[in-house]
Amino acid sequence: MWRIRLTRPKTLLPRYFRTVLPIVLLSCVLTCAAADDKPNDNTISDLDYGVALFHYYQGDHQTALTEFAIIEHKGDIQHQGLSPQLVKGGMSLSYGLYDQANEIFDRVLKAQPAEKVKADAWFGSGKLQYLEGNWREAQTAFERVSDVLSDSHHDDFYYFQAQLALKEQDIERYKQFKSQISDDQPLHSYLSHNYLLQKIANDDLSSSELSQEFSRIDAQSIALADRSYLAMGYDFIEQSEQHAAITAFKQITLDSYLFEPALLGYGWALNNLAQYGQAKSLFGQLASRVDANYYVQEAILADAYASELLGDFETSLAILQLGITKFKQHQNSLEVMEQRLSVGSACYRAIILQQVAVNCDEKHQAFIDLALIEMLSDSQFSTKREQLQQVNDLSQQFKQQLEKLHTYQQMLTEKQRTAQTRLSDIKLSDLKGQVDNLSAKRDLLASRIDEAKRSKRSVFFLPQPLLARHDKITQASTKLENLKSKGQNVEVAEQRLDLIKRMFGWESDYNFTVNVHQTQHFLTQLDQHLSELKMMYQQLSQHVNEVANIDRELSAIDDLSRRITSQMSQSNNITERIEQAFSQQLTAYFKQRQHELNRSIVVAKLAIIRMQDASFSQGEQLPVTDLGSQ
Amino acid sequence: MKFTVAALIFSLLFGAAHAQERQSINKEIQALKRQVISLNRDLYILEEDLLFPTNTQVAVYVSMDIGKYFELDAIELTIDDDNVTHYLYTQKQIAALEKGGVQRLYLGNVSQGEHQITAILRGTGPNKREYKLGATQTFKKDKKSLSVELKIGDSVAKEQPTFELIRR
Repeated sequence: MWRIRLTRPKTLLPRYFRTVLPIVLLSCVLTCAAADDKPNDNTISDLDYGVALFHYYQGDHQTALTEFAIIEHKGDIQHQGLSPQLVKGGMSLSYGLYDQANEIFDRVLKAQPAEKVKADAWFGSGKLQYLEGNWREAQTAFERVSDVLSDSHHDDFYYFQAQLALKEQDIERYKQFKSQISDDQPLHSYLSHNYLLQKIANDDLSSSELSQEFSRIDAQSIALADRSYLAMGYDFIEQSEQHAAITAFKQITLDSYLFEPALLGYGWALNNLAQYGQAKSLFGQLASRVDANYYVQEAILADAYASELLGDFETSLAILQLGITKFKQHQNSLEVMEQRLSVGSACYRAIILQQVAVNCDEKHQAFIDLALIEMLSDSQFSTKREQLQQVNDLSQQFKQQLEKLHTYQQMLTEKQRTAQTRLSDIKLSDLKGQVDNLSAKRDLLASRIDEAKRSKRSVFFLPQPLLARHDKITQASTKLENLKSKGQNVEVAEQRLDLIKRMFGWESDYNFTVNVHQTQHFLTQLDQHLSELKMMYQQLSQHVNEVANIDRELSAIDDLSRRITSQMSQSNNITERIEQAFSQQLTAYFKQRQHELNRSIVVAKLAIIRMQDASFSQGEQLPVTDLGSQ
Repeated sequence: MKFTVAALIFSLLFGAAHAQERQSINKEIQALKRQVISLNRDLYILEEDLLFPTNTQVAVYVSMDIGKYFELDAIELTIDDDNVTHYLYTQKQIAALEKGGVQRLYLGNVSQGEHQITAILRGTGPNKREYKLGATQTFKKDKKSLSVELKIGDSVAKEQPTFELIRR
């Protein structure tokens, strides 16, 4: 009896799950945990601080930190209930500003704060160290957290402690910490999964683990449960626990993207139980898929192997021949896909960066095989993608900032131009002289009015018609004096003029109060006009100052634009570096897939040759295939 | 064997270099993020100077104290008969208000002198009934910026929501 050496399914996947999965899950869990880091006190006395919190509580950390920066720029926060610095540390941590968060927690702790603030600060510091992968420092910080830790941190605190205990393989402590976490927390699922992976890594997995209940309340927990069962299934195959493996694979949901590896594993377990017929049926199901991803590729070879074990060499041969054709077709597809996914292309943006791209239609997405999906969810790749998305977002913001600045610049330039046109004919100093002169004249007039009022000079307050009469009387009196000096008799005229004078005097005295009031009224009116004039002058000078300020504002805009442009160039530089790394990784991926397909082709060809040799030596005749043409 | 050891050393070195590069990019991204915040702050201050100078600025804030008897849906804000904003709330925003966050509902300009601010709140009140609350207040605007807080609270004695406009 001869044997074809087939690739074993157990090698790649469990190793993959052991190494990559915990990191992926960890990063996911930490992100979730970071989003929940919020203070509890809800009495806010400083409105602007409250605005920062409003954004923070909605998970908009960047706006929250911007609001915080504005408050700090304007002055101190007038708030007493919470330690705003601690909150800022939490915001910074959530926004990924680890260095800033670290500085803040250090500063808060050095300031000898109240016990509760201290506990929260140590928790923040521990969480930060944990997120940075500094397990020992994280452990040290968590050990300093006292009982007065805010309730909102309670579950996260025990979660991190449980994770650290798991890393140290201290299962007793892990269980203690896990039991402290609220029952309704999704954190339990992640811990259970990581615990399971730890067991697999330690070759300590037993079939009793199958009895544990995995939460399946949402898409995330369902995916996590599927991953747990898949990891268990492959580990049970390694342990030759085929029934346990089958039980595990059966738990995986039908619409899971892990269904294909599950089907392959299920088939292998049946194969190992010598149930070749059933195994073949499963392999056949998988092998009939249109694309030839890694699992389909393995299933084709396994299907041929199962047929061979069943003694059906012809079918086995046919499967292998079809397989070779399919592998080659897939190699060609991969070449097309590699071109489609070249850095900067529409499909690259749509699939790799998960951005909207109009030129990449859906059929191109069908190219994507499971191994690529796995690679995209690999921690290294997803970290780069996340970094790239962050830099892209930041670049967009810089662009928006520049656009805003450009609008303001246009607005100010227009304002400056209009103002300069209006002010070009006005000399502010001449205007000031005129206003001052008018004010001085008004003051002189007011003092003369006061003087006339005090000395009861009724003539001073005469209205215009009476003043004309008064002038006529004075003129007549002068004329009479002249005539009298020339020796003429003006006695009668003098008597009449005297009567007129006395009558005029009576009338003036009689109307003195009215006339004074009237004069005062005119003065008030004059004051009003003068004050309006002064106000207009002030507005004008303010306008002139504003025009001068526009220059300053325009220069501030220039300065800001320069800063933004420099940051944009920095972000472009980072983008280039990440994309270069991306490109290298994609190239390596396609190279590896081509290599795997080549290997499968070689394995298939070898199997065909061996089968033909074996049949020849046994005197049977199998159809001879020209492998060279394939 | 020699090849395996060499490959192992290479992969370790490559892994370390890769981690270093990732760390370095992370640091640079952090620096970019800090710059974005700093630029946003400077831009906001410039914007405030240009568009909402102190002598004409009016800001209206919304805060919630407990809010047990009232589930806020929308606020309609009127200044001197001008409907300046009509804001619909999401669950996330309501939760943020309940935790103590304060929303800057409106930022605008008014001339110096007296102004009437009216706010109408719509939502669900006690016994899950549709509820409408309103308040009007006249405020005098001077050279300083005018800040008004719309405070939603609870009257435990009356088992009813309360609402007031406060100058801050």
